[in-house]
Amino acid sequence: MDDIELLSRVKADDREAFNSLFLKYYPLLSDFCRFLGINSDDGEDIIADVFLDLWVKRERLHIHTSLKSYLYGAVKNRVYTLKGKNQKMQLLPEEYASDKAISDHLRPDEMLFRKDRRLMIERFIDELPEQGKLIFLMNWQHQLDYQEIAEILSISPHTVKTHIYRSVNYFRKRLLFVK
Amino acid sequence: MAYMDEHHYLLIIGYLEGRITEEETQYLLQKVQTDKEFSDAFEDIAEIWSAKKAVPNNSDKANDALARLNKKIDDLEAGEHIRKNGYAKTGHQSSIILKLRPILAIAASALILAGAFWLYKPKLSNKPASTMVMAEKHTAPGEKKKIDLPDGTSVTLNASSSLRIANNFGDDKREVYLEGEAFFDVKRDPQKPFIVHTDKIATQVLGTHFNVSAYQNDGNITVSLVQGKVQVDMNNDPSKRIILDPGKQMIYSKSNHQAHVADFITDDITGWKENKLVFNYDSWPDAAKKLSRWYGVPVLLKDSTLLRCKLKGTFDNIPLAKVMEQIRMVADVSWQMQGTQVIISGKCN
Repeated sequence: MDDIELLSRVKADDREAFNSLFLKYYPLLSDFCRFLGINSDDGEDIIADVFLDLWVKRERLHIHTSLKSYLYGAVKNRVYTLKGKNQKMQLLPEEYASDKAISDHLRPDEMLFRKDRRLMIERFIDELPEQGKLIFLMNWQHQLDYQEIAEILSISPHTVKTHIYRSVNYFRKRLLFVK
Repeated sequence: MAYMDEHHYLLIIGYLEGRITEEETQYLLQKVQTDKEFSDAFEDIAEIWSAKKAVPNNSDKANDALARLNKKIDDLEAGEHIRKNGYAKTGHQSSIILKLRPILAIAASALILAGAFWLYKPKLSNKPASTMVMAEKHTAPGEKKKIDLPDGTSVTLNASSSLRIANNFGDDKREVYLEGEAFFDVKRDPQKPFIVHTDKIATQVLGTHFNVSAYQNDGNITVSLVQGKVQVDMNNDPSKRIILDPGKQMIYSKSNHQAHVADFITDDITGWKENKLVFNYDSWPDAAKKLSRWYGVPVLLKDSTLLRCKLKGTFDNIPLAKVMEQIRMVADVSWQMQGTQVIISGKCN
């Protein structure tokens, strides 16, 4: 079932559909909170709040973008309210659990190599300016397209593309020194 | 490092995410092979994109969070109910039974074990080998075959494998269908992409030498690139597209439908072409299948504890009994022949 169908079921008071949406987006939104420097407990509160709001307002809810953009946008707004928009965000370390699935079928040397490379790229990402960092992570890690990112952050798609371009150029420059 | 324009960067990213059109893809593939600056940029960006990993999905956490949220909603709605009706309905419990997504935690090993290892299925192919008939080529257990395709591509087919060649091979695409394992040395022709189809995986070639292993009874499908560039598509899903660089292999697990990229040592993968039997951290079930295909006898594992171990080693083309003896000594297993079949037992530690 896609988002449009799930959402129309939610509007018809279907709690199961609501639960499905929550389980589908929770991991993504909680990782998104991590991009914004929010720890996982605060993240859970924020996401639950967004979904509570969705449920309470379900009958009169008009979403002009996609549901996905709406959810990310709502989480972002709450984070900014909580932290103040200009506070520096810091990419928090990922939780340990996420490594397990991959490590099961990798040899130890491969695992190390992968982890090293991943850590290196994450370090580069952390060196980007705030807005660039967020936009790059949204595109690279969450596969949001330029239009979606623009909607979520209320900026133009053109700006999104410019940020991605600059970030990639920066990484290439950094990679030169590593190689 | 030369700076490229934004458009080209975004094109490369779009390609890696499977978001660009067929036309743009052709343009990009052409450019990768002709424009050094573009190809450098492509490699850098592909490296950055390959370092990405799935968003952590901790379903326990999500379920816990959902349970707490549902409690909140129920409390809220119960409160409204009281406000509206002036009393709390008796018997109305605000607890909801959550139907949590069933987690398919079926251990792959259990599946493999249940799948049994009766792999010995000799293919009796008495058809005369003719290069005129474009149809299907088979190899029996223990047999290898070199096939020359009309476009100048040469294919080496490993034991117990078959290669079907599309009727319209060479019209605007060069498509073949593989079951089993083969090494491809593809003649370059940018106008006519060469595509190897296996069960769930389609490998499109931009360059030249690569190995595909896709035995129906193996747990994984593996595409290993020796030279050039290949593009691997899974389940017809362009967002899962993977581009391989030389020395890299893509391993697709049929049990969880996930793929990952790893390094490999060429001899481990292509040794079979030189009559070397290579075990490359193979699980025992996979190793048993390999032995069975190589020597054309059924190989049976007696103890499920063997599933815990992996096997690494290379054997020149020596008799089965010698191979088994050497394995026995290093791997702490015992083996015996029963009729024509080999039975392996042991704990493995």
